[in-house]
Amino acid sequence: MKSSRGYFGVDRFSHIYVEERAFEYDTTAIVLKRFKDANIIPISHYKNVFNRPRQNFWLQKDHPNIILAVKDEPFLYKGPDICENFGNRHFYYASTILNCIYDCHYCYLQGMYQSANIVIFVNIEDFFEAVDRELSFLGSMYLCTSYDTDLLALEGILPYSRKWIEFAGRREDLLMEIRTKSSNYERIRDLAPHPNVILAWTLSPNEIIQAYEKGTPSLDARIRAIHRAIYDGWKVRLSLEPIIEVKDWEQIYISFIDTICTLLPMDRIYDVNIGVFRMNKEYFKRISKNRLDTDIFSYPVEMDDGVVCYGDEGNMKEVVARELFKYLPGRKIYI
Amino acid sequence: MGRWRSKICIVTALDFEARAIIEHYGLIGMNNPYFRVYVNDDIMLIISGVGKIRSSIATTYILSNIEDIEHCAVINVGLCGAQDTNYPLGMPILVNKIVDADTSYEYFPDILFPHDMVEEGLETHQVRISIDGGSHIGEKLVDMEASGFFESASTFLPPHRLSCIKVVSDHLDGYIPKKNEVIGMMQETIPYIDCVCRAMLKDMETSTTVLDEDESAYLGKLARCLRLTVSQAHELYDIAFKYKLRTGEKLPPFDYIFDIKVSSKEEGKREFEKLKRIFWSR
Ligand code: SF4
Repeated sequence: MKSSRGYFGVDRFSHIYVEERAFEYDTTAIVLKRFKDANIIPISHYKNVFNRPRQNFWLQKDHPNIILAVKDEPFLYKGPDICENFGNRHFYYASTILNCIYDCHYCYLQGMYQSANIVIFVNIEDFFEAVDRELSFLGSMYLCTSYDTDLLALEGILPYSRKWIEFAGRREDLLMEIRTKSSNYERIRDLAPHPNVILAWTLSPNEIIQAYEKGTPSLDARIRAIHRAIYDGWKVRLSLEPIIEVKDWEQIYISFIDTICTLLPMDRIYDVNIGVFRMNKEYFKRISKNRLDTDIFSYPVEMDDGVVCYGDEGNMKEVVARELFKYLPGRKIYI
Repeated sequence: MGRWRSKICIVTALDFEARAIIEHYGLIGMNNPYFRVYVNDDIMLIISGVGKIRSSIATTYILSNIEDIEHCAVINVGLCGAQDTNYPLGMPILVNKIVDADTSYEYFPDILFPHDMVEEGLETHQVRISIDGGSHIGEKLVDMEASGFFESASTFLPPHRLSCIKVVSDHLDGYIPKKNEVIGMMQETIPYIDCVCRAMLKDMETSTTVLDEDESAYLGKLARCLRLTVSQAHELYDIAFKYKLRTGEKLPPFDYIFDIKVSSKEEGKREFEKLKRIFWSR
């Protein structure tokens, strides 16, 4: 018996929806303990809340709630073509959490999901078993665990990055990437670096972060976290995406590349990938119609086989890559 | 009967559940052949009768007659029984989950505003039930309308524009409060109802639009002058929308188009292409 308080929206995570079968999991207990004042609402299936029609994604984003659920098969999905596989065969991703605490204007999740509430699948061990099954079948696997969320950003709520790292650390045939914009590295700093775990930081120029990456740490904060991770011995990937076409984009991105390459020990960077803004046509349509606090969807775009992209995409990639080649050998750059 | 302009619709089952609300907001009875309906500038109240089917019909009726459904919210206010005797008679509760006892369907309003009410789950039954009747009750509260109300309301509105406030009238022990008691309980609940109404109104006021009514009408006139097809008219609207988001400026003047006599679709298309170039050039 709880009441909700707070300003216009209520506090973040004021409501926690829990699938009946999720109550027996440790993860559920951890989250409920963390948010003692939340209203706890038992539900029979997470989709009854998550997939309700007509939800306002953007209103929910301002005060998201949590849904604790038990995931059923499948636990692993083939990596989508739109994502870089870095030359790895058997590219898969696993989503133990859906949605994100950040609010990047360009995020595809707002086109993909009906709801901005954060779904946490509490049965992470079932994901681990699924990876082991596939590993024994395939022999090796490249696995991304932070695709439909920012796992490390949520580490303060739930130590899932830690669990994945500990799991991957014991499996030599598994190469795992955890991608983040957070500066939460301290939360996993006590772990020994594992050669088969890549910590990937998505970086953007400060101009882009301030305008379009609401709630994310500054470039400085991310660079500080990367520094520590590198010096602690982790493999660190830089992900320079999505490159956004804004006024003076060329200058902005050139100076950004110079800044990061000067501040970071580039010889110790594992690799870098570059990607220009692209989005599934339907997601683009949905977001551009509803998201009125950004101009990002109001620039001219083109259609390429059901995917929305900039007409200037090739040139944009080239400009950024050319700059990057000054600091890194080509074999470490994925375009 | 014209379309109604109300922003907040309140659905109650019984006349004496509604009386305090009618008095508080100074609602005036309307002539209506089907339901008892009361209104003021912003609020409209409908008395549905008892049961989820009646509640569903009344909710559908009122919402399908609202002029601007994009700027509307609906609240179900009424009595409920509570299994838990810690919830005293007269206590207002904001419902955060509704289960239909017959179908087991679950419904969830999005409670995205601050409030001082206790929140609880509620189960809707077809008939009055009591604890000694042996019925299984999964939620702490029981009523006879909410699932019907919610099923209908969610056809029209998003979950953050739906709300359900219930006042504890018994502890499923067969006790039936007298009319005057109910009126008193509802009077005490007015501040809570008011809090929800204000939160809903605030949300509607803050929802922004990019193109205002005049601009939309202007674009419509342009489309007619240029004899645009439906999909071209959509495109025009979309380009104008993006232009405003991108530049933050007013739409450029295209009044010269009203002087052009477009005699064929081809000619209209040519002019439309020129107009598109002007929009994208900034
Ligand atoms: S950090 Fe990634 S997942 Fe999170 S909002 Fe930004 S783009 Fe989306």
